[in-house]
Amino acid sequence: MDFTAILGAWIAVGLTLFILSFLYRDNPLFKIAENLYIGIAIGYIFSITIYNVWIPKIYQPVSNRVFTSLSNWVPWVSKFVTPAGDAGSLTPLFPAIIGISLLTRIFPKISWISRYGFAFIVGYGAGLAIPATVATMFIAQIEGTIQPVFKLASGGAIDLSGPALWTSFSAILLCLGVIVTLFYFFFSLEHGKISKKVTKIGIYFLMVYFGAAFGTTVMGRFALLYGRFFDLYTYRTSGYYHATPILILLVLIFFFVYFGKSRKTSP
Amino acid sequence: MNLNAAAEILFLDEFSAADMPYDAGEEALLKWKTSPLDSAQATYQVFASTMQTGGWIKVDEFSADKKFASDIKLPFWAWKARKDLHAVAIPLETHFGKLEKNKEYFFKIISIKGRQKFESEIVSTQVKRNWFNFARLNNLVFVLVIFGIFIWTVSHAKRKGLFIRRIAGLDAIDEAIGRATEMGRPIYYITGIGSMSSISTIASTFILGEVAGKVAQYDSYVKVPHYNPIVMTVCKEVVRQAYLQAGRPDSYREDMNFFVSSDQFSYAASVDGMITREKPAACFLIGHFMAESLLLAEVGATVGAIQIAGTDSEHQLPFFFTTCDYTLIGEELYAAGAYLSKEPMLLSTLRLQDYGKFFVIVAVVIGIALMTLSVQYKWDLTDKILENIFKTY
Amino acid sequence: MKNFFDKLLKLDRRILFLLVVFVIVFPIFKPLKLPGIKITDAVKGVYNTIESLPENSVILVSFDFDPASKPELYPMAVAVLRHAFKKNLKVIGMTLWATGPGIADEIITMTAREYKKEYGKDYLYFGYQVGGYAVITGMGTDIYKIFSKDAKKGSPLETFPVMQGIKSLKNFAYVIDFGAGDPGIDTWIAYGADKFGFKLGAGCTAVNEAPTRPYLQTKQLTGLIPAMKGASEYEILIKAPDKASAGMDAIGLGHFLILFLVILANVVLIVQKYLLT
Repeated sequence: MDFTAILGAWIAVGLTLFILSFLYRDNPLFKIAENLYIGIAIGYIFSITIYNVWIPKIYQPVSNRVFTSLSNWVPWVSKFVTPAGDAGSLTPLFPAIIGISLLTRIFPKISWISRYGFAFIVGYGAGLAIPATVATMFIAQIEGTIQPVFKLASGGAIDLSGPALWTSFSAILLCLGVIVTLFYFFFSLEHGKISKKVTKIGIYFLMVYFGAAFGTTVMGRFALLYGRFFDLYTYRTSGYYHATPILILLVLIFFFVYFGKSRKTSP
Repeated sequence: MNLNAAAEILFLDEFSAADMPYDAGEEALLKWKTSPLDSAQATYQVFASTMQTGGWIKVDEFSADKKFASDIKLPFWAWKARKDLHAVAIPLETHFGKLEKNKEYFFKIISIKGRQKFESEIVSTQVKRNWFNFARLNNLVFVLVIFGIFIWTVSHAKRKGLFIRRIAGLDAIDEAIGRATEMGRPIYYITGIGSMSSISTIASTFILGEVAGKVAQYDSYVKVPHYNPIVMTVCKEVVRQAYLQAGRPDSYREDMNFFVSSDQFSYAASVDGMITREKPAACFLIGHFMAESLLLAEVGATVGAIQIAGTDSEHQLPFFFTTCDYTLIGEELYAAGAYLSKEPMLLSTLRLQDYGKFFVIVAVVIGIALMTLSVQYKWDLTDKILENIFKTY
Repeated sequence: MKNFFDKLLKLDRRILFLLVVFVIVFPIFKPLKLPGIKITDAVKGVYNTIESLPENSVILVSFDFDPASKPELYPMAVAVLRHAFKKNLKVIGMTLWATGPGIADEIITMTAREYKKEYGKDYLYFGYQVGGYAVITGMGTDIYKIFSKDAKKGSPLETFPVMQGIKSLKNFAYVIDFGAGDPGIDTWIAYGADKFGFKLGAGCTAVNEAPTRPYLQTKQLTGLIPAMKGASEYEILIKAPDKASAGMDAIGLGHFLILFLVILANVVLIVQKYLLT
């Protein structure tokens, strides 16, 4: 196994244990891991943005265009710089300037410039989002709810077989659920006796949804925990120089020393 | 060739090529009349080329009982779904790469039945980008109607105000503040981790105004720990205003609102610490929350505080239900904010959403009734119309 | 007695943490192979679609997640890719998450190597592109404007045989998104499938399962693989049990523990409230 894989395993195990140590009590190891996490995430995204966006999407096309034009006017330029790839283009400058304009918020005197950038972003975002949301979340969902409450069997009579009845029941339940839940969130009318009862049913539907969401969340968290433990299990072997048992031992020693000391000093 | 043999051949009647309507200039549309000889045993082979002679590429092949005009998925207002017409859309870019402007493309079809072959005449067309996707007319109508109603409700709200019923959760607020006053313990108001641009945070600041006003009246004490500095600045102003309106500017203190951390979990850990130490009588968790929701609400519950929560992040609502005494669910939060502030923009948004909900309820009820009747009486047309109107294309 | 119930309700949560650790770690050391995994229609939706595609069809897989959701989405992504490669489909991978490229590359390279597939001919990796919905909208009209080069070799996309006949999202026989948040499945539906009309399947985390399911019923998704359970179903469907199937033991035991604790707490509360006062 190569060195980077082993080092990676040690770091992964160490950081996992540091984070899990919070379950016992807040401690410096947890804080180290937490701060590292934030720092690394920001650094990583920064570097990805530079190498995946800034250089290939803006710097390269613009600089290629500039160098090509320059070498057309002043031929000796091409002796020193040969643009990589195509002739490039100056168009990426336009979105780049809009993007950079947002940074003027740092300087109060010229922060008004950022408004143009925001105006563009909000306009573009809303223009894309409104039709998409209306189509996907509104129109399509209405279509999905509208289903016939029964089906016809081959003879032409209403199908009363088990699966067909189940489909009918689902369709009715779905329709009822949509209506009473929407009714619960109706704010323009004062609630009378009947409508109060309807909203109560609405609440039950909501609770079923939240219960399902709660259950799946618990399942998700278990899966994540299992994933971490499985990695710890994998890294316990001699191939990784027993990363897991050694680091568990070290963390435990640290705990005894650290909390032992703080217990003595605290009144 | 005798007459009988000729009758066996699949002629292509009224074969034509045209630009595919409502697309971005990618496809050509070929049409020809169906023939009584169309059957699963016969085949159509479609060829395309950029030249009138030679360079033919086979772009499609299908049995003669397939691909009718009615198979093209366009709504009834934009397309005649005929059964007596074959129609095939040919994606030219897939076969010819980047398409050029004003370039003519040529097509021919060879029909094969048994050993008989018939080659059609050559037809041609240009493809162009269409300005308007007529198939999505329903979406445009929906957006325009929503927009129109919004403008109307805003102007109506500004002129006359709009009625909004009182949310039950608001009564719980009074109770919580009353209890805190009796017990002589502070109240915590947590605005969540949203920025000032999220509607839930805006609604939360309005509710904070109400809470701070009551607190000032009862001479209790409120603490507002913050995650976002801009939200903090706004909340300071809100609380100061509330104290002023309650006639208690002397009781207002600058440090009622204070900044904690802009890191989600550091914020949660630190606020948790404060709640454990000070044991507030009431906690309000109103605004935008993520994974820190349960961390905060659970600690509040363990110290025995009355807790009122409200958020539009649906993932977090289950956690609030299990730990809080009262929870404002999603839109109820906006409604509470609108009810308290009487802000025309918020009121009209809420009213607009009510119209939307009303529309959905009516559409669903009528739609299901029509669909069910159409199953019984075989109204295929009703089915089709309903399906087309509520399709996204 | 009352004292005992009080103590039970105020149990130090660290004891519960230890119990959770035990039920999760135990099956790792000793697999129990708990029975009862039923194949659901949602998962079959993805499986059947892939099964129905003719050989050499090109599919696009978007890995929109990061290491934080790896235990849930990694196994299903591996299972789906194995299925695709086994069926001799061509696979193109990409990600909309800045923190996703490492995992995406690992999954596609590992599974391709298992089936001895050749880079550029049988599979390709676009890499990451910033912009979320703007990327999808752009790919809907012209992929080459969004990804001009591949992420592994840095060569122009046109030079790879797998890209033959692929110009926009519409040209893919199937698009699958493994999404853990935003941009993710919602984005692919709203700005992709609904707008440009291609077949879309998805795999989601457990947290997102409830909000994503309505798209199945409206047929905006052809299928949905929900979290580790969905992944284990998929592993059974392709007859290659792996990580997800192994993990289901731990999740099953965990659920038993939670159910037991919920019932216990409620019983104690009821007893305390009605019988002891």
